[in-house]
Amino acid sequence: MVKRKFSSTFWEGVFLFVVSVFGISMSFISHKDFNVEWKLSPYLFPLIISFFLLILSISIIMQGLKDESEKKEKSKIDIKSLLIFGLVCILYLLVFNFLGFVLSTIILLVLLMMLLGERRWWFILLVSVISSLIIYLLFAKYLSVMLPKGKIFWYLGL
Amino acid sequence: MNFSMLLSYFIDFRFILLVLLGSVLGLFIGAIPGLSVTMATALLVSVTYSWSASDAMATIMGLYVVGVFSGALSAILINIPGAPSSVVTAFDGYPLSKRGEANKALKFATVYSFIGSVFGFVALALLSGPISSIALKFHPIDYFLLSFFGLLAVGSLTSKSFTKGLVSAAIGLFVAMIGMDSVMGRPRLTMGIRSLQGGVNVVPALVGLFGMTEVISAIAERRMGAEVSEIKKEKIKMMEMLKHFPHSILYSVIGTFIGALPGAGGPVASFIAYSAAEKIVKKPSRPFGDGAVEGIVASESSNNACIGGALIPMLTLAVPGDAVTAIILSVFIVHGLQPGPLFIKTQPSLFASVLAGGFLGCLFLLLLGLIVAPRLSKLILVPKRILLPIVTVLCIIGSFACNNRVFDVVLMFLFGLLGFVMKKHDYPTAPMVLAIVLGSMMDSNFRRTVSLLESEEHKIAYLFSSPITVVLFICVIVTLVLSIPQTKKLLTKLRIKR
Repeated sequence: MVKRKFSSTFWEGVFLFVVSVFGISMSFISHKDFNVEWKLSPYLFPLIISFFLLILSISIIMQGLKDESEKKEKSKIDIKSLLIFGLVCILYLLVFNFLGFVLSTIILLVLLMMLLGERRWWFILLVSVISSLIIYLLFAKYLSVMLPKGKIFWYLGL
Repeated sequence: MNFSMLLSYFIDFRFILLVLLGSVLGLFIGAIPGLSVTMATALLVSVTYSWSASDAMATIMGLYVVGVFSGALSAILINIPGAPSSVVTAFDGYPLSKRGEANKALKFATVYSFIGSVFGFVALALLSGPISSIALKFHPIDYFLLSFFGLLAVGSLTSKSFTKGLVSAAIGLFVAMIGMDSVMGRPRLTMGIRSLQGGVNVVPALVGLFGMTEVISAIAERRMGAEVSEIKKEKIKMMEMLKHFPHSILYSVIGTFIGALPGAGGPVASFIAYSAAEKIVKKPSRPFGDGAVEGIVASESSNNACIGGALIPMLTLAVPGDAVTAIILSVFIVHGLQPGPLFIKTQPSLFASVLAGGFLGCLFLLLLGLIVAPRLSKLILVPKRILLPIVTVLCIIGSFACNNRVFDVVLMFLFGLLGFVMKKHDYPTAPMVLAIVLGSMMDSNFRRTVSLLESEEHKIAYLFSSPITVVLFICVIVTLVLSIPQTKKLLTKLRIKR
C-alpha cells in the first residue's frame, strides 16, 4: 500500500474538527450537570459555535483532500532561534517573581539581543540596563503597576 | 453634541499635551516596520488603565491618527509599509524616493493624510447623532445580527479564504466564552483552571496577537533590516499641492464609508480609492505605479478618512469597524463606559474628547509630517535585534499590568504563538480579535433574543417585525452567499457568458 501524504490544510481541518467535537461534548456535559432547559442554558451559545466550527472544519478537510497533490513551497522557519526564544521566555517567567522585574528583565534583554545577533557586549549591557530601568520607573512609579521587586533582595536582607 | 465642550478641550493645555504625546508615539511606532498602530494601542490600553477616560482618549486618538499616517513614511522611504493600510502608498511612493524625490512624496502624503483625517472626523461629528437615534430602535436580535454581520465581513475581507476567516472568528468567540457566564454565573470552557474563571482578559489577548506574533515571526523568519535611499531637497508650490483637493474629497468619502463598514478598513479603502484614481485621473504626473503623486493622494486620503469612519459604528452601535477601534472599545469598557446609542447623550464630554483628540491629532499630523518626518529616515532603521527584545518586554509588562498576575503574561505568550501559527497557515487574526471583543455582547444579546422569543406567540412574525432586523438579515445572508466560493465561481461564469 502506498502511504498517502495529506496536505497541511487537511491536518488543520482535522485539528479544528477535534476542537469542535471537544466543544460540543463539553457543552453537552456541562449542560447536563446544570439542571436548566436548553433555552436558558449558558451552554447553548458555545454549542452553536461548536457546530458552526464543525461545519467549517469539514469544509477545510474537503479542501485539504482536494489539494493534496499540490506541494506548497514552505518559507524557511528558523526553528532553533524560535525554540531558544521560547526557552528564554519560560525561564524569565520562572524567575520573574524571585529576581524581581528589573533584574530578570535585564537578563532577558541581554539573552534576546545575543540570540538575535548583536555582538557588542558593552552595547547590549547599556541598552538592557537603561531600558529596563526606564520601563520600571515608568510603569511602577508613574503608572503604579505593582511590579515584583524580587524575593531575592528580601532573602539578602536588602 | 455641545460645541462649547469641544472648544473647551482645544484650550485645555494638558489635553493638548497628551494628544501631542500620542502623536509623537504614533509617528515613531507607525513608521517603524514591525511595530503596528494596533500593537501600540493595545499596549497603551494597559498604560492608561489608571488614567481618566478623556486623558486616555487624548493619547490614543493622537496615536491612532498620526500612526495610520506614518505607516506611509516607511512605505515611501524603504518600500516596507509600516502598516497594512499604507501598502498602496508604497506603489508610487517608493519609485519617487528612488528618484530622490522622497521629500515630495512625503509632503503629499502628509497634506492628504491631513485632509482625509479631517474629513473622517467631520463625518463622525455629523453622522453619529442620526445613527445613534436609529440605533436606539435596535432589538437584542439586531445587535446580535449586526455583530454577526461584522464578523462575517471581517472574515471575508481579511483573508483569501472565507472559511479560514470564519474559523478565526469562531475560535475568537470560544475565547470570549471562557470564564464565568454573565447570566447564570456558571464557569464555561475553563477546563478546571481556576485562573481562567475570570475569563480571558482582552488586553493579553490583543498584546499577544499583535505584538508577540510580530516578534515571533520576525525571529522565525530572520527579517532584520532594510536600506534607505537618499533624499534630495526640493520645493513644492502650494498650488501644485492643492490641485488634487477635489479628488481627495472623493477618496475621503470612499475611506469614511469603508471605514464605517465593520471589517473593511484602511487596506481595503486605499485599494479601492487607488483603483478609482486610476479611472478618474486621466493625466497623472507619471504613470501609476511609477511615481504618480495622484496614487499617494488616493491612498493616503482614503486610509486616513477610515479613522473617523471606523469610529462611527464603534461609538454609536458598540460594533467596532477594525482592530484598533475594537481596542478603543475595550478602553471604554475598562473605564466602565458602554458605547452605544445612548453614549453621545449620556457622555457628551467624552464624545467631545474623542472628536477633539482626533482634530488635534490631525493638526499634529500636519506639523510632525512636515517638520519631523523627512528627518526620520535614520530611526526607521533601528535594527530589529535591538527593537524586538524591547518590544518583548513591553508586551510582557503590558499584559502583566492589567491584573498584576503572571498568568496573563503566560496567556499573552500563548496568544502570540497562536497568532504566529495562524499567520503561517494564512488564518487572519483580525476576525479573532473582533470576536473576542464582541463575544460577550453577542452571547448576552443572543440569550435575550431566545428568552424574548419564548414569550412571543408568533415567533417568526416577531423576528421580522422591525425593518432594521429585516435589513440586517438580508445583509448577513447576502454576505454569506456572496462569500461562498461556489457562488463566486458561478458569478464569474455568468459574467463571461455575457
